[in-house]
Amino acid sequence: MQEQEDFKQLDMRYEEAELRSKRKNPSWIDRAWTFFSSVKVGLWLIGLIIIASGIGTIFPQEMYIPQATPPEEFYQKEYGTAGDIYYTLGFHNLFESWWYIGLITLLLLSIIIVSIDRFFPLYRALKKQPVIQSDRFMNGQRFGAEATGDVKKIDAIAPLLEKKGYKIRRQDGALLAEKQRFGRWGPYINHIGLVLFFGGAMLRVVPGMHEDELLWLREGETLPIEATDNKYYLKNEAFNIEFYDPEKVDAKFKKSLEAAGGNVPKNYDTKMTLYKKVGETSDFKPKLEEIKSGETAVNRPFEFDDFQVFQEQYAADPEFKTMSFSIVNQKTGKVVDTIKVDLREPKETYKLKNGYDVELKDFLPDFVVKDGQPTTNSGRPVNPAFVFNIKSPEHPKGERSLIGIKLNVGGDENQYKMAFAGTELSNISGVRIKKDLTLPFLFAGGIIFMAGLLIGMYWPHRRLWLREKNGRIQIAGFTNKNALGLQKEANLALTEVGLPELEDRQKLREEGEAK
Amino acid sequence: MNMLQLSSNLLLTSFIVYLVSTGFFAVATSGKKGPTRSGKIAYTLAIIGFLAQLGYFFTRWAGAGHVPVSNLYEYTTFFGMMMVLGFLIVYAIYKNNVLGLIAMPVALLVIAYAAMFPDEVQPLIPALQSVWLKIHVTTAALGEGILAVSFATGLLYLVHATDFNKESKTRTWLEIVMFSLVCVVGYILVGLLFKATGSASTIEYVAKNGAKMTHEYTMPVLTGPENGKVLSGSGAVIELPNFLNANKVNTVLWSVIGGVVLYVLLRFVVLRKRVAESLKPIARKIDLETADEISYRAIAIGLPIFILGGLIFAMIWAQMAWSRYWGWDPKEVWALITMLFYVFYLHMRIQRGWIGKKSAWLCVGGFAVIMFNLVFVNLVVAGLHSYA
Ligand code: HEM
Repeated sequence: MQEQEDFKQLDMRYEEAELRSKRKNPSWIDRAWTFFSSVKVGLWLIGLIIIASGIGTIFPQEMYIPQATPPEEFYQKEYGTAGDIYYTLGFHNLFESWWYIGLITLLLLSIIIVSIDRFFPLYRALKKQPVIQSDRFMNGQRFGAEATGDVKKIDAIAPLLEKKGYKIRRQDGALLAEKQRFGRWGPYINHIGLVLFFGGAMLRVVPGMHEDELLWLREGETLPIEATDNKYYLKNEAFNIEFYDPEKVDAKFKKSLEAAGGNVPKNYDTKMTLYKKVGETSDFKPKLEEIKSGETAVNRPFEFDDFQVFQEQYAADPEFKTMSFSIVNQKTGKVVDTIKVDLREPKETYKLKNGYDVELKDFLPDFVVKDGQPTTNSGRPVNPAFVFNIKSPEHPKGERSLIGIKLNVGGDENQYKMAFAGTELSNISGVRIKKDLTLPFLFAGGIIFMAGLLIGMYWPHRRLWLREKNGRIQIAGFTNKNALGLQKEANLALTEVGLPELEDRQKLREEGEAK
Repeated sequence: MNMLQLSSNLLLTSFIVYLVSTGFFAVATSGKKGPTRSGKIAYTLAIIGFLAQLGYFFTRWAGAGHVPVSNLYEYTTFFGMMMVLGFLIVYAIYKNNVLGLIAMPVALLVIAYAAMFPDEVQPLIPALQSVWLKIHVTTAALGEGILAVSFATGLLYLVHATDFNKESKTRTWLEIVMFSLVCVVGYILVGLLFKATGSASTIEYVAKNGAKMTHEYTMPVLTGPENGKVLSGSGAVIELPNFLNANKVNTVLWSVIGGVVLYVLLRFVVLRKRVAESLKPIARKIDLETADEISYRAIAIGLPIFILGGLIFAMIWAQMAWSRYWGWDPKEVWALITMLFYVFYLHMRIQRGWIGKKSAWLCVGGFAVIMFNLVFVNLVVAGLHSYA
């Protein structure tokens, strides 16, 4: 037992190869190299990233706060002093901050350097492994055993191990059985995948690799796509939204829908047509050629070239699209005619039957009264008002009136008035147009990373050394993962040829110490 | 009987079978080390319970018309089921009964915790109508379930390695871990109690943006919103500023109260010693080497699965549903933190020789990160994820 208590396991991580980072008399390059290839430094970086990321989730990041309130007010108002401090320190944009991105960059640098530092020495060491190892080596392995016996036993075990998938090398009677050496490359492969993934994500800054645009399209509207340099135009043919109806839905969903207070969307999608600009008409309007039509819905983007069109949002309140008015003779109560005003493209005059005309003198899409003057707040037709001039045989110069929602100025005294005859609403669909040529890099990086992870974790590198010396057989075993697996596999073969099972010297030492 | 009813009966069945299985594991560990007959019975029961829960899962799937992992109740139940699966896999390799005595109760606790959430099936909003939802959530939960096994062994390691007669940091921290677990039990018991006594209140208040909102309390009201108007039930003892969710704070308070009562009972009446110490006779039956090895293997197996499900599949789905594979949403960030934490563990272990006690603490910490993401990020930090 004495021997076991003195047992000091050899560090087999790099097969005792010399690493650049462990050089004596380093130059400054060596020093920088040593710094970044230090696992301690790498782990500090990981630790700092963990802490920073955690801080970034205490309060919502700027991109998730309501856009109506400016951030400097939002954090203060919503979360008091703590929120104010959070904002002042810049944590509301933590993940885009120079120092967070800096930490990730340093981590990548560290991963690259550490991998180079260790890969080549390890590769060379594993490539030129001797079959016959020193006593120091054999006794320094965690697993080992010794017994009397001759080379015949080693000869006998060779085919058994071969059957288990080991590659056998022999030299002067000694044996080296090895399997799944590629498992040792797992960490390097996964580190490469990681670098490729993050490198790919960083390629976004290269012009042309990444485009991202949110386009609000009303029904029937056609707009150029800036992300394609206005080469393509997109038309919203129809937006459709469907809610779960608590009355009609399957009984099992009733309770949860009632708890949610209705308004749980079931589906929303936009039917659209894509056009390509092929020139300009004489009045400088784009000449468009239809390319394709289709539909975009959540989880089912519409695609063209390198672009994808995602159904992202919709406006909660639809806009007015058209408004219809009847021209009424107030004396007789008769309707002369009806006009329909397209709010997006209102005409200046509307010709009616029998010599009647309606002139649209002014159109105020978002009507307000400011300083006693009617004016418009925005260009969006949310509260439209109109100044009409109705020309009739009786009044060839026309009669003016201001008409809006719950608004009628001057209309009552005139002979002819405009009366609401209905509206059409139009939905607004928010689609995100995206091109991301970095995705293949991310995909490749992700696959390589996973492959490396699996190889490293599920394919342990196992080796057994046997050699005969002065009538005794020395056995040593190595595995980088799953000690139990190695013992099981080796012991079966060892006992079959009458050799002792592998001992776990580490464990024996600890038990010895405990006693 | 319709599918959904059958489904909840199966869940109840599995819960009871798990309980019985835990009992048999207790018998198995009271005797000698190694596989015993009661150990075999316990393991068989655990498998039967798992099959029953699998039955729950698929009947609910059939009943609801979509995979039942789309709200907190369903997800948490599924996570409990994956913890059991993780344990079943590890038991198959190591045949260790002691492990069952820790892993099964923790899984039971998670499933009981799930029962605290509303269990109605919900129709899916458009973003959730995707195959990637199934793939992402199930794989992530499986990974987390296997990782959780390392918590059980880490805990056993620490209890085994600690001398409870001497004042030490390990002794203190272990007791804090036990207290947290007791608080979860407290939360569940208090929840059940108030469900039975029916202590519901509704309080109306005016939110920051001026909208009228209400808090629906299921527990007696200790903390209420500023200037709240009691619509039904009782009023608040303390009013809180509105950036704190008074209802959630109320629940947390009650859980801690329940936890403290339960803890004091356990510590001074039932066990008459530290709760962690009372696990010592069990923990002593697993040798340190084995506990350490199982922890590491559980992480070696669980981490790749978690990364695949919780990060890679998650990114694929986010790209399809939200047009961006990554958006720094709190749930996403905490999945990243989970991965980095276990990566930290692996490197510390392999490169800096953190084996044994330090490594066991990291296993406990990793589980704390997972639970934080499940409980805290879902309940307190609101995000895009549907179960927020
Ligand atoms: C997010 C970042 C990282 C990930 C996901 C990662 C992943 C891994 C994994 C899974 C292993 C195998 C561990 C095992 O077999 O138990 C490994 C090994 C290793 N990692 Fe990393 N790593 C990361 C960052 C780093 C950093 C920053 C460093 C050092 C500065 C580093 C240095 C190493 C070394 C030296 C090995 C051992 C290689 C060998 O066994 O030959 N890693 N890494």
